[in-house]
Amino acid sequence: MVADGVISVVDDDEAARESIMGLLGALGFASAGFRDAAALLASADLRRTSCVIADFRLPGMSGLALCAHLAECAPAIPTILVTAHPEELTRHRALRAGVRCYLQKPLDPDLLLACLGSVSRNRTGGPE
Amino acid sequence: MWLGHTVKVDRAERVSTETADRSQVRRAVLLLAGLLVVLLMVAPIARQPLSGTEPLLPAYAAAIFVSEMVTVALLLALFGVQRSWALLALAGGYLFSGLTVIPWAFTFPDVFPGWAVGDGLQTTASIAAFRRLGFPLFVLAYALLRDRPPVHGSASWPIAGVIAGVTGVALGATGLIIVGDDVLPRFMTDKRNVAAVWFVVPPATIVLYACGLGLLLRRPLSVLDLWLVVVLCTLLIELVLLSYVSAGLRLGVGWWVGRACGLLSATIMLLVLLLETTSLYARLARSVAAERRGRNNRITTMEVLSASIAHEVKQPLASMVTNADAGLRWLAKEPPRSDEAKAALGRIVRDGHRASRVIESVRAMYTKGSQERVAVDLNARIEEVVEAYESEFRLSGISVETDLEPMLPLVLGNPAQLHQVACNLIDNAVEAMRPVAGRRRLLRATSRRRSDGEVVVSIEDTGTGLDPAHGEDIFEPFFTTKPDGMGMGLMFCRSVVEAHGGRLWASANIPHGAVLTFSLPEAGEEG
Repeated sequence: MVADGVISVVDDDEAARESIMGLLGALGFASAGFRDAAALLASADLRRTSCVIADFRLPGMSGLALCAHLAECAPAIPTILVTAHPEELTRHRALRAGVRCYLQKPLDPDLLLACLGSVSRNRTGGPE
Repeated sequence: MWLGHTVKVDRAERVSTETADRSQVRRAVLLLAGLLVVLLMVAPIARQPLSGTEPLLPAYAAAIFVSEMVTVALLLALFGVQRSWALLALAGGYLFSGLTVIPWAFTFPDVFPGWAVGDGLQTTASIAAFRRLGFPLFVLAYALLRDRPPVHGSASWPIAGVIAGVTGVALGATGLIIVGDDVLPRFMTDKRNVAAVWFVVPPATIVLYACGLGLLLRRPLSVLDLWLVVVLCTLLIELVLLSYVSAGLRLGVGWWVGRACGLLSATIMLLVLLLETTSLYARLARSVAAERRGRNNRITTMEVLSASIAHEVKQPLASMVTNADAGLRWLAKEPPRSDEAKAALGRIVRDGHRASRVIESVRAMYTKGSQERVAVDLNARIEEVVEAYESEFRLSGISVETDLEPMLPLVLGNPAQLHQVACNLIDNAVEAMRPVAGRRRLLRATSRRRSDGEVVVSIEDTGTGLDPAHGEDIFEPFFTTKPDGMGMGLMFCRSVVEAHGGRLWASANIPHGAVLTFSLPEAGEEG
């Protein structure tokens, strides 16, 4: 279950990061915040991370590259990409790369919940 | 940069309105000095007769006629653009001069021997006097009409009127002179020598030339004015050569050199108009191209900028909505969690301020009066901004040093924009130091006066520093390595600084961080 672990939020915009973490808190999830992919990958929280919500445009390693990297981890960590400027092409690329959901900012709480739910179902039914 | 972009295309009036520059004045003076030298050199041999030169006269007259007629056409074309009465008067003068040179040559003794028309002894001299006294009158009219407002409505009627009037007067008067040879003043004693009566004409002409010169020189000379002054001076030299140096003797050395002066005089205006027209076309083509380029740049910049503004405003707005959603959910819980809701509201307030800062900086850049310049004390501005950021510095654990040069010269600028530049640079430094841990977070603001008349301001930080790979990218509107704040801040700073005639650049701070420096010219230079 997602709720078992921590949801890591990766966004270089501090205000955006805090708002997403605030919403996750209100939805009943524990979360940790990181300003870029490197910070998350170096963090001890990575092992407890059940799901990553990453901004598409990140300094350094992009959200998409982070997703690909996390998919190769054992166990694989599912990623939700968020962006302020959604594009059809990017959505296709993201979903092909294994991103679970591609959501637009500001986040729709119900969509986010549904997304987290599907991530959780997939994860519990997964190979682990 | 597009902020200071002003291209002037409407310069079609240049030749008759733009003030003559130094190099043109120098050229004019050199030409006249050369003619004076010629005059002095010719003086000793001026009275030597050159026999058998009559056949040259028709060619001379034809050359004068053609060049003056082309001048008329160019002046009338210029009138068509500018509708200035003065230009019309000058065109009339050249028309008059060109039309009267023909009967003058036809009636010249022994040039067309055997012609029944105008072989009276006084005819040629009378036409010459008429022509010589007539032309400066048109120049006087030009000088007096310069300040008149332009003609309204169609240009064709005034042009037709001038052509008809001048042609009528010139042909009518020369016709009368030819017919009424008997009643004319006795200018000539024989075919080559003038009588005492003739010597009334040169002084009268000189008085007219002097009046023309006086009127023209009354105020700063336009290009056309300048060369008209030269024309009058060459005519004066011609007159001196013809009437005084060669004492009225026709077809002598002095007389022919004088005539050459006359030909030069007739072609000066033509050459000036042709040269000015050609260079005007070149300039026009260049400025049209520059304008087109500028417009394209502006459109691109506007597109990039509006996208960038949209992005900058959307980020905090998205956060505000998400925070509000979180707050609503905290309040909907049973029992409501007002502490969490309050935290969410606090974040909304912060994000709202951030969005409003974005709007404010855009406003500072684009509102009316953004081009206004007043004397600005940069030291005072820096101190103001540093003070305003005090709580920010404290919260972020940043220590601040200022090293401002006392008696720093003022710069000319827009205070609101320069204030915003300082804010953005400090924002930038604060953001760069936020992720830094394990070393001192120090922001240092310095101002210096440089020997080359520039004031230089630097904001140093000990932050993450510049990635050499990014280079100039940091000044692009979409460039992001910053966790927070104004993504287009540095681009804005560079636009403003460059619009103020300065430069903005980034360099590495030793051992850590970055230095952003801008230079602005001292106010004293431009007064």
